[in-house]
Amino acid sequence: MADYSIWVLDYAAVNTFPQSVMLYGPQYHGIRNLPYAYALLKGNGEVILIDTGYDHKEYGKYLADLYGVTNYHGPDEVLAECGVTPADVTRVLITHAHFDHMGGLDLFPNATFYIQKRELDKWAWALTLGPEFRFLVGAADPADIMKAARLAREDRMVVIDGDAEDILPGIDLHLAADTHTWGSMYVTIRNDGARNSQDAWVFAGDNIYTYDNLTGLDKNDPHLVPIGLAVGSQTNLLLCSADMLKQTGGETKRVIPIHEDRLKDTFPSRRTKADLHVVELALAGGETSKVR
Amino acid sequence: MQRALVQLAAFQIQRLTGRRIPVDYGPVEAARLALGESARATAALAAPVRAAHHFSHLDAARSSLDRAVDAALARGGPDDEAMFALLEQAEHHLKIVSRNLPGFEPVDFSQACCANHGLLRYSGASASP
Repeated sequence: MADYSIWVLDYAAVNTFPQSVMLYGPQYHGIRNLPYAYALLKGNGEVILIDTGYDHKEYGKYLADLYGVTNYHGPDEVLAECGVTPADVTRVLITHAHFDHMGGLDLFPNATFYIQKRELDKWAWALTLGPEFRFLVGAADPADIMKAARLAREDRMVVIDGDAEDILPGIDLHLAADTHTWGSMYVTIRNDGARNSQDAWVFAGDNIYTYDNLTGLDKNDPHLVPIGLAVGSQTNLLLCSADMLKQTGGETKRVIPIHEDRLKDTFPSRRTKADLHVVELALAGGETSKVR
Repeated sequence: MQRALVQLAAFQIQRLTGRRIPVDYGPVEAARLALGESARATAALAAPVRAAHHFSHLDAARSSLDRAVDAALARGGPDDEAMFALLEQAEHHLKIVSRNLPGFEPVDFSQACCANHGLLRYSGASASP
């Protein structure tokens, strides 16, 4: 029996995302749909989010418009699909500081947030470099760091320095330094609670955008392919992908790329009235399905 | 100024999450340098009357950030309470600055002849010459 129920919840999308950003190399292979999503976990008395999404106003809206984001819905509406409100959320694990993952820091009034020290430190450092280096901070909303400071004052911001096992029962955090971002973090859920889990899920952050990053495009010649958008190195991205696969015993589909459009076809899912998707990865004991 | 605000907020997070003993003043120094640049830039501005409101918020933001740097460098250690209050003030003023363009007042074009022309086009009516 699983310890945590796990869902992936779309909250917006970029309908025309260049494949060249998702996969390093194929420059003229067109576009894909790129859902914006976060993960919801329920179990062990906790309601946990992996990432916050963003708030569609002020600079968050500016960035969303810049990137062609459509069909935004706030967490009130999105979480309600699973019978949860933002006030119910107790923990939020931030994979990295880009606006679509961390821009909703002030939307969950009772949550404690976890982020890597390196992510905050290097982000602040990048902002000292001047506007000619704005590529390095392009997808980050400077207002989010003030939100983070407010949370720190309320003792609701936990800064993690490297890997951390059992941050909550069966949940491990891993630093993926100098990959998609400087202090990206991926999350392992050992859903049977065992150290050598036979029921592990990995939430990859944006260290992979698609399952194709783990397999390549040629079924007959599988290999790791890095994403096309990183401030770190391609080597680190490949090593991170290999590590994540190791966590799941090599089972590709259990390494979850939150932006993967095919999650809804890979796992049980349903389309909501808002034309978003609820994808169900696991159900804990006593939990009812949210997709049937 | 936005860069300075982020540096000082990062410094606050480091302090409040108890990660830096002794305190790393790097972000404060970076903020001080950024504020020096902005002080020179704003001093070179001669704000016309119509931009006075915008400029007053710009100036207030810079003043708050200057004082936040002072609070960070206070003798006896950073004054976190004062610093945070000043950062919130600076953020407030910068948000206003980013919303209000200096000296520009909104003009209602909905009754202009070009707007009516646009309505015709987008309602599907022929606007071809």
